Parts: sequence; C-alpha cells; structure tokens
Amino acid sequence: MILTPLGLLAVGSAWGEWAPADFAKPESRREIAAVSQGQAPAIAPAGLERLSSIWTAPIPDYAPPILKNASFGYVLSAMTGTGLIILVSLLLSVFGARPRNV
Amino acid sequence: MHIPDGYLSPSTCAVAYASAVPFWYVAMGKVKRRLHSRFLPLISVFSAFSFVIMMFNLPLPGGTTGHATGVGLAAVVLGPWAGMLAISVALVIQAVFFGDGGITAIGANCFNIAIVGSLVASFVYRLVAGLSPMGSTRRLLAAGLAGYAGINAAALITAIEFGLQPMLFHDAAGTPLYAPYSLAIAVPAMMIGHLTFAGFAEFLVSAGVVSYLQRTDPGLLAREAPGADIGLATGS
Repeated sequence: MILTPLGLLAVGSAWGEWAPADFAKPESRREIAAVSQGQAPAIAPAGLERLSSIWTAPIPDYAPPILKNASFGYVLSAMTGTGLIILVSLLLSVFGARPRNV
Repeated sequence: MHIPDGYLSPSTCAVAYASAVPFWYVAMGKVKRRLHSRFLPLISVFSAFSFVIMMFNLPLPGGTTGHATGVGLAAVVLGPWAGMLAISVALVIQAVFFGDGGITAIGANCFNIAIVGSLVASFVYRLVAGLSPMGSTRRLLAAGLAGYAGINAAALITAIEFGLQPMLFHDAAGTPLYAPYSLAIAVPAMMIGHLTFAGFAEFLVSAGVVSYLQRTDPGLLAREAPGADIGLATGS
C-alpha cells in the first residue's frame, strides 16, 4: 500500500474515463483525439454531461479533499478502501451466519 | 476500464445490472455454504488485493493509462464464483467511495471485470493447468495466462459496450448522447493497451503471487484446483 503512489506517476487518463469538462479544454481534447483515431467531439455528449454528476464520491479520485499531498492521500485511500472491504466482509459474515430458518 | 457515469445509457446500465444479478446470486449461494470455514476472510484478502492493485496505474502505449485488476489471481485461488464476489466488492467500494467507475455503471463494471473476467480466467486456468502438480511451472504459466485472458476479456466487453452506445443512442441529428466513439475506435483503443502492458502486468501479478503461494502455501492453490475434489493433483 505504501507503494501505491507509484500509480500516480502514469500521466494521462484511462480511455473512456474522461470528465465531461475534458472535452471542452483544448489540451485534454487533443489528448482524447490522439488516442481515438484523431476524433474528439467539440462538446461533451449531452447524456454524459447530464449523468456524470449523478453521484459525488466522498473521496473522488482517491484524493481526500482536505489533503494537499496527493501521494499521502493516495496511500490513505488505499488504507480506507481496504478497511471498507474488511468491514463489508465482517457485515456479510454476521449477516450470513444467522440461522437460515428465521 | 471502470466505466464512469454517463458513458453508458441508462437502459444499457439496467441491462448490465440485470445480467450481473443472477451471477451474484449464484455466487452468494456458493459462498454461503462455506461460511463456516475461513473462506470469507480469504475472499476479503483478495478483494483488498484487487482494490490496491487497481490503484497502480500504468502508462499504456498511445497515451492512456490502465492497470492490472487481480481478477486472474482471485479466480485461480478462490475459483470463479468467490472470485467474482471478491472483485465485485472492490469495484462497488471504488465506485461509491472513490468515484472510480460510475454508480449507474456498477452493474456493467462488475459484469465486465468481475464476472466475465473471473469466468474466463478460471476457464483458461483449468484448461492450461490440467491436473499438473501444484508446484509445477505449468500451473504457474496457467495462472499467468488466466490473468492475461481475464483482463483482456473484460477490456473487450467494456470496449464493445462503449462502442455500441453511439450506434444505439443518439439525438435526431445523429450526435451521440453517451459514449461518443464507435466500435471501430473503442475496440482498438481499449485492446492495444490491454493486450500489451495491462495484460502483461496482470500476467505478472497472477504468476508472481501463485509462484509465491507454490512455495509458501500450496494448500491454498489446491482448494480450487481442477481435480482437487477427487483427490488428484495434490502434492508438488
């Protein structure tokens, strides 16, 4: 987990995971076009624009809003995520361990 | 490979959820029968491993990024059903708490990465490993190839879902409403990166951890190995 900030070194975005605003910025539009056979719509598709803000995650992009240091935030996110997974599995075991015929 | 909100139409998302639910249901049933054992903690270990490994973004040829998923390893050690649960839990937490992958797309992302990925990985693992001994190089290769095939199957189905959007969902003028790229663009864009770097990373992760397990805890490999239930393929 300590090593996770290495994942921050890769520049650019995953294909098909751009934010709607990326289509409007010339620089990011160029990047999108470069990985999509030269094509990039001038504005974000309407449905994407509408649905993209349907959910606001508490820790968007593994960067806790209160932390300035991206690497530290990333490590903290890895720990939080692992903790949440353990919590889910504990809940499942409590839930699943109940007698079946209730 | 985590599809965000808004790239798939609501109807596509609904179909994806509906496709994922039966698999989750069967998987839950299979896991529930083994709750008395230490199986659940083991699932959460591989789920957490998958969560963390997906944070290691790799630069892919062409200028995008990608990452290994841990789906091959989970399928090899846990089997396809518990494996898909492990990866699904990681994906749900990524979407809900970290905004990695959309809420509306949880069904699609779980179907692609956790369900298709696990089933393909498990199939390839069993096919290649056969009844070879737990400690064999063949089994190591099988685990690596399982990861490679699993992540690429997931990437391909993701690309197809992206690529179908502009064909099916556009306004009167033909402007795409959701993901804007056709299959001809989406499939190569996704696959070039995954057939090379991300697939290779997944190969190394699966084979690397299995190699470690061969030396330290071969029993862990034996629990889901082909032939394990009929008393074959034990020892190394």
